[in-house]
Amino acid sequence: MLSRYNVLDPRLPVWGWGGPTRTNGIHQMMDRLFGDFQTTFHSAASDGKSLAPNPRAQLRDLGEAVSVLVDLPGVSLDQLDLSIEDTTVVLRAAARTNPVPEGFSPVYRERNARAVEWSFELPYPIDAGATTAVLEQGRLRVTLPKAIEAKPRRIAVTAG
Amino acid sequence: MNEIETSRGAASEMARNGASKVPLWRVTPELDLYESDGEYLLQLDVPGASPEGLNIQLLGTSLQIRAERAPAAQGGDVALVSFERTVELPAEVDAESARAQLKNGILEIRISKSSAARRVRIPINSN
Repeated sequence: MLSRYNVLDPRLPVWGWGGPTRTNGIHQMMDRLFGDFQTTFHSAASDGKSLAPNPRAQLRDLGEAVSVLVDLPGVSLDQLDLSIEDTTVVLRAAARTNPVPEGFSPVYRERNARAVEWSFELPYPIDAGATTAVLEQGRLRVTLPKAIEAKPRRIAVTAG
Repeated sequence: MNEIETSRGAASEMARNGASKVPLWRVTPELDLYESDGEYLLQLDVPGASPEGLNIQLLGTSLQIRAERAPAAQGGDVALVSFERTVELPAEVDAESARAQLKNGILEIRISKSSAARRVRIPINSN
């Protein structure tokens, strides 16, 4: 049963679903679902604290920008820290509070309350100043505009 | 079947009718189940799900939950997601009492135990 996924595959020349050099297919989907998640995403605790597995995320190259959608249910704004250094994006989220509701006792618990520390590297420079991030219904949407030199350009072709 | 709430989710609707080019992924959401003397409380992680995409049904003690999320407003989704989970509750419940709340990507469902399943303290008299 699918419980965790990410779609960034370093073997892909273009990120996202249905890039111009790849076709959509169930085999590619399964490759991505069950591939080695650790090859590009890093989730390591610098201070030895317990971290959650990498969050579910979707990345897509929109041409002018890269869209990153990250599942962070129960995480509040003040628990989030997003930073960009060169081409590396680092997302940190403090452990969400997940106490036993008052008057109740647990029967079964599997929801993770550990901190998130997750980073990935983009293959092109980003205009960090124009980056936007919105947290809505437990989902973080980050839009990373490409730096001018990385944006696609149309080349005028003239008749010889 | 006692239907607590039904609505057709926008995400799967788009995927079914071919309006969307992105695939539909079914994901099993993480779940916490709590109980008090008279009530069950379930919490599920369904980030991005909207109230319109919720579908919760109760069949006996089997609680079926589906929460679909609409595509991100500015694009970026490579797949639409449907969170789907069936939970077998430990005891009979009163379907009419069920209520659900969606907040910050967490779906919370409360259902009262049926009177037969409630824990009753029996007073002990000493002579």
